[in-house]
Amino acid sequence: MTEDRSLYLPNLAVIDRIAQETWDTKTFRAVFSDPGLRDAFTYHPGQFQEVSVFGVGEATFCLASTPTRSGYIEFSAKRVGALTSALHELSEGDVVGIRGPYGNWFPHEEMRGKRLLFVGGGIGMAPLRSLLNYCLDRRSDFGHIDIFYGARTPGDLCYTEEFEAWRNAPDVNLYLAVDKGDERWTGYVGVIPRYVREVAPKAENAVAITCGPPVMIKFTLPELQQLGFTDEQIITTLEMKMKCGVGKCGRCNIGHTYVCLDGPVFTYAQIRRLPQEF
Amino acid sequence: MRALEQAVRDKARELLASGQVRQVLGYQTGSVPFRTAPAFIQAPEDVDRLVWNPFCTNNLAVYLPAAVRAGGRVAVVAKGCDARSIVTLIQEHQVPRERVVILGVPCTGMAETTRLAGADGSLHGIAVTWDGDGTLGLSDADGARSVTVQDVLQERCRLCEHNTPALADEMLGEAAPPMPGAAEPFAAVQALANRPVEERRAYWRAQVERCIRCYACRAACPACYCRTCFMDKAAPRWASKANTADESWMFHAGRAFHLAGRCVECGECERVCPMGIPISALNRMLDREVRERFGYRAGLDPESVPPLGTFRPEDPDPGGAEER
Amino acid sequence: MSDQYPQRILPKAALRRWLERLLVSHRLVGPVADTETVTSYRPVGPEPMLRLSGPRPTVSPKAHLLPQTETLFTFQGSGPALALTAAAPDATPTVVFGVRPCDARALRRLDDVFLGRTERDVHYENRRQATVLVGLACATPSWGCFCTSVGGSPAGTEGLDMLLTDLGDRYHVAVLTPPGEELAASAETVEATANDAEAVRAQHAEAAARMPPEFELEAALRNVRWEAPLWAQVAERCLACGVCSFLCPTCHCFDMQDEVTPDGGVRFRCWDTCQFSEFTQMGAGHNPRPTQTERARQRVSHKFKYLVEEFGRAGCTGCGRCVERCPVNIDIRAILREFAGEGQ
Repeated sequence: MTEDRSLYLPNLAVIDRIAQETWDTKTFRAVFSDPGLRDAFTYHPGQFQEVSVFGVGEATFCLASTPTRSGYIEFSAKRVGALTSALHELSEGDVVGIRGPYGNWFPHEEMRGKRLLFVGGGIGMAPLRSLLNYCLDRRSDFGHIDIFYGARTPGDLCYTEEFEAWRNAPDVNLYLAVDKGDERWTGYVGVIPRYVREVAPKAENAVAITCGPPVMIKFTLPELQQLGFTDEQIITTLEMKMKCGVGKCGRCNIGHTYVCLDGPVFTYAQIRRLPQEF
Repeated sequence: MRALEQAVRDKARELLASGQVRQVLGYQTGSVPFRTAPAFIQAPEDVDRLVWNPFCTNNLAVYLPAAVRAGGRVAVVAKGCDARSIVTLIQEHQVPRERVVILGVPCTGMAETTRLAGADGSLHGIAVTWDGDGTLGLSDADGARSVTVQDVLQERCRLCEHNTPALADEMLGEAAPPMPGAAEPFAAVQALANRPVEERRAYWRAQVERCIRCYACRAACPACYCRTCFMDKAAPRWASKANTADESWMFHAGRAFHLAGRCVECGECERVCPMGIPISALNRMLDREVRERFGYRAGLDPESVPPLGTFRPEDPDPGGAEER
Repeated sequence: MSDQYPQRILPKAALRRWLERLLVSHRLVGPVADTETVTSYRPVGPEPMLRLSGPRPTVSPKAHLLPQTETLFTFQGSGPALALTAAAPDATPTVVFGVRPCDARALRRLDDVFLGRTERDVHYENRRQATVLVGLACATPSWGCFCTSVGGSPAGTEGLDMLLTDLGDRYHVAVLTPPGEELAASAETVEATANDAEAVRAQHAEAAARMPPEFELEAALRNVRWEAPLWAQVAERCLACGVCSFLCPTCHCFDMQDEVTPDGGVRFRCWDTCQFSEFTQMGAGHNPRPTQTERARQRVSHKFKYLVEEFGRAGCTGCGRCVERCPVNIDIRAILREFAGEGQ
């Protein structure tokens, strides 16, 4: 008989900060209840967790915080269904369950010394924020950074409190865009793919990391290719419905690839080799 | 009955070739001699795939709403029970009357395939021939023998009161004689209902304990067309996916109540259940109540409204002022 | 047949006593009659009544390794007082009696996923390690059976600790593993004779001869592919129920749900199927397998392509339950036959 820990048993964590990003998106900061785990927990940007609201269920969220800032983790959730609604009802001090980190991660080792092009849309910025802050915390390891981040309206942009820090970091350009502005918006109005084309970031010795709504990815890819990015230079994350997160429940496969094991981070070259069912 | 098969093919060819319908739903030979499979015919030259025999057991009305949504008019080969299902779908606005062509086939009952097996209890390698009328020739490792279809009738067919379609655009044969058990369709459920409530509770608990929640019963039922079944709703969550007896009973009883006054007793639910749960008996118990209290039978008149889908001041009030 | 252990004979009159002896120290699971036509593997008590003859049971013993519903943990209290209690491991010594070769072989496929691929699933592992499988060779195929088409046999021993063969008034007992030997020690057996061995060999051969392979497996595996008109044809009549998956001895997909109780709640897992329309449905609305066509392709490709690519063996042992119980006569043999027949 084995008394090993069940793969499905979460660790308890206390929500110690909730930030309202947009009308339907919140960022939750959680601290593990077990002090040992609090200090020892580590992960890589791009990985995900299974977050439980006990009594309601469990769902998948990518880690939005960076492992370079330890002692807590963050994830962002858009209110779309039962579990995310329950999350949005939580207050600081409430307890959730966390399993993880799972999945592969952004190949930050291979990105060292390179130019980085972040292209994010809406809540897709969450995993990118993890990698971005990681890179900014280790600034000298990486080359020039361009950040393109867009949303439908200014009110739909997340992480607004960090824009200043991103913009002011050394050798970083921040390009914000909205599909539709408001009376106060003085920035770019238009879709991200067009903005990317206009700014034309260099592809040489660069890596593009993109995450956002399918329509944004679909039209950004050709722009990146036009700029000279090869399929190997473009990285994204795939999202599939998940339950166990550990390769047992059979739900998240695309062909024989399990997104929870071989993903969620893929290069575009890998995606082209997958059956197109995601 | 062979003539019926030819009539089905001829009519299907005519409707497809003239462009009157986009598709014909019928039966085709299955992967073994004692099964048929639902057939979806679009081209007139394919109509010879259509068959009619004592194994045409599926209720094809289950495909109608989606078939009609796909466009055009759809013809469907309909036994008596199937035609009643179609009437229900028309009543409930799931299928516009003018989009369906009901090809009525008078039915003398379908064979219960499990009763065709030889002494070893297996249908492996069995050869089945049908004389086009009422007799099946069987040949397997035990030798050759014949049975009449009437001897191996599915129970739901034996009890059927409406084996000639009540509504049809084309009736492809003469009205069928009544089925042997049609005079007493509720005899068995009446006996069950007469048992003390504790006995009934124990009986049904033992039955639904076997449920594996495959939802084959729901999937095969033409009246279960909700896009999100109450069992699958996450918010509010009415029932649990855990297959405890309590939760499984919630499903079966809940479904039975949702079908009360709408079930046409086609028996598909019970046929498809892999665990042998007498689901049809539960529906029949409620049907008996609906018939007694409201004088209503489902699926006969497209103009009528199922009693639990409407309210009239003179509706019976069980347990209410009158009964007190 | 293993030569490691001497072959034995158990008179049928001694079977009942053996089962009762096993009951003293084991949970005994065996094929019982739910109805005249439905046979399931269920725990049995004193005076066990097992249905051991005829074709393989309606239901496989899968539920005893991977229950339809299984508690993963419970939770009590709330806020800082919230506590989780892991489900107690189920490691009760268990004998599953009368396992057919297809179902034993299938458990190896479950092992690939739950004990392999990544970390071990302890819930499954505890049950698996505590379970001894006593097999029963099939003399009669059911009409959907096709084990011989997928590399199996009605007398196959893969995955079994012991194989019994019914010789009329007695069982031939072939012990295959140390746990099997331990179990056989409590049975009143005598040494098998050369005649017994011959009778067994003849019965096994006859049973296999009744099921010539229905398609060429290697060709089928080569040709299962993404684009094929077959998927839409299958999907056309598929009702999207879970009969095929739930009766399948190798299907293992599961869901995880929470249930609230008076003092907290429970998280359990339960069987799920890629055939249900909401299986891959995401919260924000997108479903990468929106119609039954994609779902039919997933089921067949998972079993006959993806699992082969990952583990080198198909996720099907030819038990034929999906064939027999599909409400609309979708016959996986016909699907594989079509792929196999497409040439190179």
